[in-house]
Amino acid sequence: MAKVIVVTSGKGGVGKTTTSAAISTGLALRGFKTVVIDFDVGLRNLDLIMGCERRVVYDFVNVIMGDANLNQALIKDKQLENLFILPASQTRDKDALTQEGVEKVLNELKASFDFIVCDSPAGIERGAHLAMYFADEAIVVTNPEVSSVRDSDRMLGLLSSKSRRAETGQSPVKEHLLLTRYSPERVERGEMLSVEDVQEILSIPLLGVIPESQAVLNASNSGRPVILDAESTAGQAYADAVARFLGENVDHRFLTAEKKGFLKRLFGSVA
Amino acid sequence: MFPLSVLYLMDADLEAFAAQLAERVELAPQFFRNNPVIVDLSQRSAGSPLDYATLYRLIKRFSMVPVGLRGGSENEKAAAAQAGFNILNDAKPGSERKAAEPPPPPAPRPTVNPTLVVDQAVRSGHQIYARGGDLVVLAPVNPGAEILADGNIHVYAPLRGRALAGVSGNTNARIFSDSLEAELISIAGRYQLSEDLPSSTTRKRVAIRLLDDKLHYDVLG
Ligand SMILES: Nc1ncnc2c1ncn2[C@@H]1O[C@H](COP(=O)(O)OP(=O)(O)OP(=O)(O)O)[C@@H](O)[C@H]1O
Ligand SMILES: [Mg+2]
Repeated sequence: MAKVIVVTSGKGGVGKTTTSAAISTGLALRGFKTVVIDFDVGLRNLDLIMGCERRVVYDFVNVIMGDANLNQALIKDKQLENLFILPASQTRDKDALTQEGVEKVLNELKASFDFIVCDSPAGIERGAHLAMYFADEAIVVTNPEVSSVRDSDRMLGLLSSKSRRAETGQSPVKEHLLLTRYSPERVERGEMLSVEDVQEILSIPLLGVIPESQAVLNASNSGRPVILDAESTAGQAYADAVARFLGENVDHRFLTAEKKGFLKRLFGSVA
Repeated sequence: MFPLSVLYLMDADLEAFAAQLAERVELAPQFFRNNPVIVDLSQRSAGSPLDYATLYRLIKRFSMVPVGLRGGSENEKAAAAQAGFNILNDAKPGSERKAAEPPPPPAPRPTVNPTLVVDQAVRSGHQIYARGGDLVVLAPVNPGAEILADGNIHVYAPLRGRALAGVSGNTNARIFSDSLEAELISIAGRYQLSEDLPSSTTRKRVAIRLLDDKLHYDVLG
């Protein structure tokens, strides 16, 4: 049965698109047929991060409006056989997305994909609502700071009251917390909330902690999702998150600041 | 601590209303800041429909806390609820507008409403109102959430949002929490913001009531 996953946050710029690209690539690497949809109509950039911007002909809105069929609009990833991208329209206005239209496209995709990853726009307005409405699972992307936690909390409230699962009384949307741009050094200095602080408020299972990493910027500049950079901490943390998403038991890493010298040799990595 | 204010709307002219409000607020800005207010429509002359969303924003713009709305017709209440207002019981008895209903059964009716029990976290942006009764919450009330009751409020978890008990004026209402970290506490309109809560109560199990018209906190062992 195909699963619809929304990557959402409320707050803007926390790493939703980075995460959508990494998770969908990770699922495809594991052999699942995966499509990632850009719901950010007007501001599309998932195609940039996925490195397929020059191959966009038709987009999500074209399919909804009936200007193109799905096969024409889906872009096949250059490297991964079973990864597809459905880009957002850069020109249409946001009202072009309708609930019926989105539902129709998702139903069609469900017939041939294992996972459908929906990259939500920021905010809690129409686009964000449509991105989460049909979700079976939600990855709530949060930065370790108060305003991001507050917005994620708001989003979790909406998932449990305004999603289709909630409205039709089905089992609730399965929620995962993904803490991104985590800097253990800054947490230790008290400049950022810790994993525990965030979990205390949001109280949902922790899918992963992605460290702040220069590799993310390099990845988006080169159009290669960071999960493909197996050397980088962020890439490894995303790979761990994918494993946990698939039910594997993987210890969390990169939670503590690098300790240099004697103590480090004595105790190893405590995380 | 300030009592709950009631704003009586006389007509649908929100511009005039805003101007009057601005005048008042200018006279005593500190008094109105974060002051919980109730909008009362019972004295409003019938006429053009009100823009409740604008009214709601207007109240917020003056840094007041729109606690609820009372006194309108069912239609007006529905529109107001859409705009984010809590609908309160009408102040005056006999103002219910349910003429077409069959006479109530003669059996004695309980005088309290059943307790509203919530067992999921109340998250930022959510508001829960136990009309005419008590509210029991078995999960955290998070920052940015607001819980209200005409009766008592019990939170068997951390209370980090706003809690307003006795919102229709019941001065005997109380608030209980397993861990007090609230943004605002109010009983029958007497309220305190987090920065004014006694520091000895922070993250403690507490019972809160009105004593001599002031909020009184008891730390429970
Ligand atoms: N782990 C990380 N380390 C360093 N930079 C990061 C990390 N994750 C995201 N970023 C950077 O943060 C910025 C925002 O990321 P991204 O576009 O994924 O966020 P978004 O939530 O999709 O934003 P929007 O709300 O605008 O859609 C980008 O510049 C990205 O490179
Ligand atoms: Mg984005």
